[in-house]
Amino acid sequence: MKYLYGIIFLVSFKVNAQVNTGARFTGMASTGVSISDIWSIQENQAGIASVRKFCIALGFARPFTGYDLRSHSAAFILPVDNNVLGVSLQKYGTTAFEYQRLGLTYAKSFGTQFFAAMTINYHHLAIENYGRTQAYSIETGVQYKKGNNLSLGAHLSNPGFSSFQNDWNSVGPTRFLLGASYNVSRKLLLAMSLDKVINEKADIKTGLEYKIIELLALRGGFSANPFKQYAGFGVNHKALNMDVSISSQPIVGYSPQISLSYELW
Amino acid sequence: MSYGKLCVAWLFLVVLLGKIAVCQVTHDELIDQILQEIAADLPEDYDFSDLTERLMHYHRKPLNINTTSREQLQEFVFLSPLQINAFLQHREQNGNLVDLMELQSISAFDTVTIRRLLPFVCIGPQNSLEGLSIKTLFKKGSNDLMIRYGQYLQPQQGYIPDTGKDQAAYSGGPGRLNLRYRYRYGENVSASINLEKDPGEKLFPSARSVGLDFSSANVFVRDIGRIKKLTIGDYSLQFGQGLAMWTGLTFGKGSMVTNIAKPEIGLQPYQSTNEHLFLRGIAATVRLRNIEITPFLSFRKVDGAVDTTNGIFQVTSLQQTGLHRTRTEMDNKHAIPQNLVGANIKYIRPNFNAGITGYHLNLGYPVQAGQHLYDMFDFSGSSLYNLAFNYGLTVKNSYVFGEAAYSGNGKAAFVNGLLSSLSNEVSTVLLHRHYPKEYHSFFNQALAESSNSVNESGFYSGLIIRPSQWEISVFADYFRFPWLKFGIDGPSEGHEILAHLNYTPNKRTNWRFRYKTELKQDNDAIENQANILENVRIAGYRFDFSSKISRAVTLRNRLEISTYKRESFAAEHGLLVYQDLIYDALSLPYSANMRIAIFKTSGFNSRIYAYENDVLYSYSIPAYQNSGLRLYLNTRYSLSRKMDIWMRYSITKYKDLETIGNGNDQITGDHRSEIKVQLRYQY
Repeated sequence: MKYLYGIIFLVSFKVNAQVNTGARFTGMASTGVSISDIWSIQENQAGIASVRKFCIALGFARPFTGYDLRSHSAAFILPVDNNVLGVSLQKYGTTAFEYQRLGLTYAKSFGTQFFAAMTINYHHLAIENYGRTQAYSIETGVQYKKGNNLSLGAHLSNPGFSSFQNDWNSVGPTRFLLGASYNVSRKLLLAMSLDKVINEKADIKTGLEYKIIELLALRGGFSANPFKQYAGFGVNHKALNMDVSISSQPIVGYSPQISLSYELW
Repeated sequence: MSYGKLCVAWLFLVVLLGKIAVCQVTHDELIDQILQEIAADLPEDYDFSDLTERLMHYHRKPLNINTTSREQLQEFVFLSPLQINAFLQHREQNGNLVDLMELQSISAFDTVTIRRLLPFVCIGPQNSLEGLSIKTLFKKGSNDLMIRYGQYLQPQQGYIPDTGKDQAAYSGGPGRLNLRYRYRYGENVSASINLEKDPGEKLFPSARSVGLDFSSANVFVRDIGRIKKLTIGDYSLQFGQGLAMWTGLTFGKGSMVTNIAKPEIGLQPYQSTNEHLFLRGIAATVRLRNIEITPFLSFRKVDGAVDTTNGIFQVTSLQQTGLHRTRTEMDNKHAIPQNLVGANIKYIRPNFNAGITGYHLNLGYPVQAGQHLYDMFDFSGSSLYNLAFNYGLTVKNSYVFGEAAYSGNGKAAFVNGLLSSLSNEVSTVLLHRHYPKEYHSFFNQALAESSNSVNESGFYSGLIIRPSQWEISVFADYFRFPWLKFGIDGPSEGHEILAHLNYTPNKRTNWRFRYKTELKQDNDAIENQANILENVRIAGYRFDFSSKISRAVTLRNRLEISTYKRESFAAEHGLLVYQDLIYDALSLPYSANMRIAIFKTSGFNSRIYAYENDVLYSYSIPAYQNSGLRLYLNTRYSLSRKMDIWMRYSITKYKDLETIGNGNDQITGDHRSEIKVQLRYQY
């Protein structure tokens, strides 16, 4: 069984690194690199620089239902003048196989159009009856807003090729994201992103978010490589957001996800 | 010169000529563009002349937009159900349109759509049958008679007798002959005759009748009292989403994403030369307030092989090609009587419609059960019931549609979709389908990846964005075949993604880009009793540019690259570059167009399809494969106001080929040329 987890772990690391980016972005085919949200802390940290509220968020996902894998995540952000500080926590795996990540983010807005951020991650991996190991990595990202409607984003993770000690696999791929999003109207947001993991074929993703009413948003999208279809919805009531998403990959099946966020003040 | 250099030189030419573009676009080109976009996904030999004919007709005699019906609007394939609904609602609320530009005030109508619709509509007097008598029918009706002949100039294997035999494999001559007659009185009365002989078929196959190999005729009347439509002769029926009953033209997954919601036109006269999916007999649509009832009867004979061993008649295979050239094909011709009786009842409200279709089909001889694993669930027996329910509902900016269909063996198939306009410029389409392997219908043309809508489940999502001069459409489709298929020894799955960009900066210039990729599973190439499946990826990049450089001259260019990658083999590539030149001065009695194309593909797998201009009503989408050069010249000359003549010559010269084609169609030599002549008399 342990081997199986190992294989799933490696396969999934290869595909997506299993960072839980919140159900809002996932519902839009993980095209959040140019979007601003508390969950930007897991996708492109520059996105939290334009969130002017103290927020807290919690997420839960079951990657590939049927494999007993779980993913929990939590995030806090605190704006201080033009700066935003963020903490993110992530736990992924099973009881026998546990991966944890703690990220500390510093994001800054340069005027009203340009935002940048830097994150330091601490990674910890424990496999039952086998041992444990740890490592550090960094992430960095920028966002640029043109007018009220167009937003561009770029993000780089693990540029230093950090990996766990010995031959335990890397802490996550060296990965470059580039994306754009456009507010077609007050109700409709279109987004697109290019996802390039080093030594792998690039993936192109496209997604949308449509607010049927102020309270309820519907989302959907797809990615080309690997081919995945995504759908989701979000309920927004005052300071509270609840998002649900599901993604479907032909071989491994469905991955549901739920996340909550709350603006404290 | 290498292909790379050629492409660069060509691109340079394109950009240069694009800069000096001046002048107006003619509407023939618009029809051409529409056809090119929807035809891109049709089979190679498909006759969609009925669509061309309809568009041409409305172009010549535009529809009065103030009296036009929902059904007539549905004939314009580029209009989505939401746009049609919005228009009808607008007309009902604001009264008749005073100016066509009023279309701009309907939020569902974007610039691209209005530009497409304008040539076919007008604001004018109403059509009616008032004062109709036999005399006026003859005096005021319009007649259109057309004859077309075409053939390959090189002898094909099938026409040459084998050594030792005095008969060739094909019984007839190499010519393709088509005779067509149309009568129309306004929009309400029409009649048509179609006669066709395919290459290799006998000119007069039967000593007893005068018809050619395929003979089709009908009379059609619209709007006489309660009878909305009546057809005697050959007709087609299109109901719901095509799960139970859809004959004649339909479109699948193409760049016109909103076409996914099929516009059900119901009863129509059949005017095409596809010899397979149509009905022959009598059908009518009767209107009672909000209800329309369409009863139909059809008696015809279909092609197939009948086994008569031990005096038991059994159908071993049904044929759909409509070709009757060889002994076997002629023996199978019209071998099986097919009788059909049924009806459709439709309830129509402005924002809601629902219908029930039921019919019983009876074959003269029972169809034998499938002999292989892959076809063991196919239809067998001699009769089949089908019952289907379909609906369409408009709620605010969304149109929900679908169909559920049962076949006599108790199996049900479903298709449900949503078309939603999210903003003035953005629409999205979602469609889910589930067609069990045991679902049977002889007239099933619902949206599917396979050619038959059975043994398939899938989910389609599409997006169209139309900001003024742009049109961007994207779709992704995931499909699964839960049972084996011919040549695929296991359940399989795949997906298809298409992105299409259309940019029209002004009336004279048009840029288009299309990317398409598809992943499917297929048997591996090892000779075995049962094979393991492997992935096959097909991808294509297409770049188009067209520009009207003077009042009469249009240039059209394409560059297309294809790749085909089978898991266990190296990738195959293909390249096609062409230059079209179109000359059409409205003031002159002649017009012409030509193409020079260079192509180079690794073989059949990386072949590239491209639409070609042809004589009027005739369009071809041949596959370009291997290496070589293709050229065609297509001309029209108006002999008088009533008489036109078309001539077309085409030639493909291959590099490094000693024979072209295979089997009976094989030609010895490295080139193949074809000539077509068409004469039309309108009175």
